[in-house]
Amino acid sequence: MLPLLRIGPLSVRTPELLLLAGLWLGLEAASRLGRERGLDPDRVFALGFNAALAGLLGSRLGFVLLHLPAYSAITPLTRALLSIVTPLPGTENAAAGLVVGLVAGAYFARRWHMPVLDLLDSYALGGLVLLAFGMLANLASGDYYGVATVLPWGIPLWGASRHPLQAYVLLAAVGLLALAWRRRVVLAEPGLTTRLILIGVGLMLLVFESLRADSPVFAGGLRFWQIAGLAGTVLALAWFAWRAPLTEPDAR
Amino acid sequence: MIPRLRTQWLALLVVMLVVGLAWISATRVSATDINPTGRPPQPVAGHPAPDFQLVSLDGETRSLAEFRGRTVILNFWATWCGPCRVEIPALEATWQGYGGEVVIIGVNIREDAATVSRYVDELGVSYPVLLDTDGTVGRLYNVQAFPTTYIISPDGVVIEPYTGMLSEPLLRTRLADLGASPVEGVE
Repeated sequence: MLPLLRIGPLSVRTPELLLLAGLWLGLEAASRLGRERGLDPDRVFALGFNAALAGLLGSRLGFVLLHLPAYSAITPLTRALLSIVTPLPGTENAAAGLVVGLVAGAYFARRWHMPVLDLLDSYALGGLVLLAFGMLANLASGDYYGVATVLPWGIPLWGASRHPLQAYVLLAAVGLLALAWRRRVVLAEPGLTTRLILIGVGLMLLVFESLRADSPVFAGGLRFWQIAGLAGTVLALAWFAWRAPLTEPDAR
Repeated sequence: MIPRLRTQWLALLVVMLVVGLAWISATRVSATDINPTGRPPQPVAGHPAPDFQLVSLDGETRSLAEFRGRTVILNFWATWCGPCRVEIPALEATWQGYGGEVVIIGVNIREDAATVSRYVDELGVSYPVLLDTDGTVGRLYNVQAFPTTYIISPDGVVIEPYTGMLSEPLLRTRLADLGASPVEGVE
């Protein structure tokens, strides 16, 4: 674990730094694939960056709106407004951020006349880079930790030898990324890369989440991210089915 | 073999759905693990907060366990820490505003009682301040930067650890989530 990076008198939160690096490198990867697909790489980067920024602002706005009574109780008004804009961790609403980020992304894609499927493929690839860095951030913070294990590669964390779950997902994400990048010519059909990455990440979530000790759960113990992973996989398979022919071409 | 026809993809989808749901059901978190108090004490969300005993500024020995039944905001700080000074009014307002339903415990790390006492008087801090003179409790709670704060539920479970300055809205929303509400007329 390395939650804080100390440079002289300055302390930097390592997980957030890694996430920023992941966002930047992810957008770089998306831009590169976008360029190969004939998209303007600067616009691919800018669209992703704008959507991420809008998502960040949306997550704070969503949190404030959901907890408006708490904010409106603060006096004077200037102090309340300062509380809204101060960058503090824990005052975000992920769902609101996701919705605002997607809406902003769709707006810029429409405004700049970007082909949606090629754009999705580019961001799916970039998303794997972000996922890999997200796991490095979790290694640094000690979050997303595995259940206790007696296996020799267990890592000591929170008082037990645990599955290095962050490393499992990191390796799987890097493997999937390498595969998608190496086979990018074969996977040139717009939308194909997105479908395959959806299936890959969905299966990763289904398998690895079962080894997670701090899973968000609901409805009597169901793991949220396993449900999300299955939904992603099923969605991608439905997409494949929709694109597939009803009969063999020879049979017509 | 990669499916080609729509029916083959749909068959794969159904198989995936059935296997996936079975797997999710088989690997669901058991009832005993959902109960966070079944986990070992760790300064991590979902784990019971590690207990400790420290001497307060008043010279009394206090333990975390004695505050069980009330929401506890455990705040690690030092007099030389700027952000700690900035967040103290929000902590004091919370201490005053929740009428005992919420307990603020300030744990000063590695400073002498006289220095801490002068500082506390200057800022008008009225919530309990404990002295962790050798940093033992700070290490127990993995304090790596100031301020570090733990919100602990009435049943003694860590709800959320925070490194960095807290804000009043954040405190209020988290306390509201725990069912604590400010006493009318005090806000």
